[in-house]
Amino acid sequence: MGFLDREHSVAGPGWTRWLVPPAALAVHLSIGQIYGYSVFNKPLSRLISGDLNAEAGAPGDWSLFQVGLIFSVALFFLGASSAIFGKWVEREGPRKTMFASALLFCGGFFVAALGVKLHSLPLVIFGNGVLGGIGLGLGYISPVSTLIKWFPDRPGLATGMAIMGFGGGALIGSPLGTALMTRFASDGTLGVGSTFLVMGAVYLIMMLFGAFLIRVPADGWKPAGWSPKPQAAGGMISSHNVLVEQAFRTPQFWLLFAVLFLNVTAGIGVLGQASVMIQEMFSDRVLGAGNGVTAAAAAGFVGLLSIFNMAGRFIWSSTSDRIGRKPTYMIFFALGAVLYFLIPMFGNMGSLALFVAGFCVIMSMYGGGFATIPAYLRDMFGTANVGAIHGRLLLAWSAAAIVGPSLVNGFRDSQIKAGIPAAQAYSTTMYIMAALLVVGFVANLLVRPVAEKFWAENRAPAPSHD
Amino acid sequence: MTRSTPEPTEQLSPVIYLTWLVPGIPLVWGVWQTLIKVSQLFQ
Repeated sequence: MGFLDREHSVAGPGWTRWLVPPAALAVHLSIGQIYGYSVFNKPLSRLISGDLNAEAGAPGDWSLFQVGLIFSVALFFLGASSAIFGKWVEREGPRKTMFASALLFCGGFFVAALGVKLHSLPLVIFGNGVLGGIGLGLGYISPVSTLIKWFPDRPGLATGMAIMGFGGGALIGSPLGTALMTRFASDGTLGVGSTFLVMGAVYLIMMLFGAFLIRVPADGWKPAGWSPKPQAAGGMISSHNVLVEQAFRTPQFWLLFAVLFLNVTAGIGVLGQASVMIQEMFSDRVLGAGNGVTAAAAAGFVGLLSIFNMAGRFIWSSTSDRIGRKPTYMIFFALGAVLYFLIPMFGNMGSLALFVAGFCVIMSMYGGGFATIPAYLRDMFGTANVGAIHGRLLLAWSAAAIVGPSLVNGFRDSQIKAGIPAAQAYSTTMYIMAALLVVGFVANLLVRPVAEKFWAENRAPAPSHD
Repeated sequence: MTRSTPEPTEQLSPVIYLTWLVPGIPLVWGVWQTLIKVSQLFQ
């Protein structure tokens, strides 16, 4: 297995760096399937009854709440594994870690297929949730620092291409899962187990393609004709590296943690509730009989948000190479807060077009926040340990994945209980989201270059006296 | 921020374009499937 080692994946002379983004994209497109996992929720909750149209499952069928645990467990293990294994990923290089990610993520599908066959929820959770989640974490961070090293001149563009893949993964995973279940469904079975087996095999091929294609640059490599411009003192791009343990102690790490947490919290809660929200805010009662948003149109709205979420990752991240990371997040937070403040007004006006346009911009900035953060970390903490530092920062994502949906659902439910019509129940939530983004604006404003005492060269270990 | 000097034009061979097709084809298929759903919003 020596071919997986870092030293065997060093690019030879003349190898082009433009082969690295498709390798990273292949992995991120695969693991991004988790965002489309909800297509399995209902079928998994009807495995015994075998009837998707029934109001409730047969005795022994899992509830939707139980099935929803699979996604939550996967996201938890994504955050945990990227934080725990970040240093290992940095040390072993991208090929070995992508390989491990492929085995775990796709092996998780095979274990889950067995769980479906045996009707064992713990086995499905272990497969797609635990194994799949660890594979997600490793796969998410593995190509990031490699891309930054290959594209020191355009780190935002490079990481944007890969992380765009994670956003695009749902666009593939969701229709692929639906099409395969339709293909494999037969009398009394919904085809979930067979779908898991095929998806595991397809994603394994895609991810191994990425693992074998990827290369790390030789030490000292830089793009032909490019040289970093010397930074003025106090500049926002550091040419010094910070160790992972030290990064954890800097205020910059926690400010960027807050930046990512607040940006994700504001987006993720809405993304999960988008279908219900648009149907309630633009129902027949609000727009007149026959003019309300149907379930099919709401699904189209969710699809549109997914496209903007994906495109925003590439567009905003590459834009940050030109305008700088800090100004990019300033735009996210300022424009996001204004839009969240205006959305209830768009609803009251009955303007579906403005409502949809507003959320499309918000979702592009949600995706952009994910894609721009690795380059921001590179600017602050240097290139050497950016993968491991990024892994730890992703805990902010896990935290936001819990807080965001709870905020949106909790406030909506309390408003409805208080007798407020469903169409207006989201207003308070939108104002809270706007306030969160204002806090994020301040956190981003406070980001300054890392103090010299944290630089790795200033923290060399004391010489041994034995 | 750093205003980096762009590298000289990098030669991209047909192999590179073919390699991009591996993630590109599924991505385009996924976007197309999603756009079909999106069209429901405007009907």
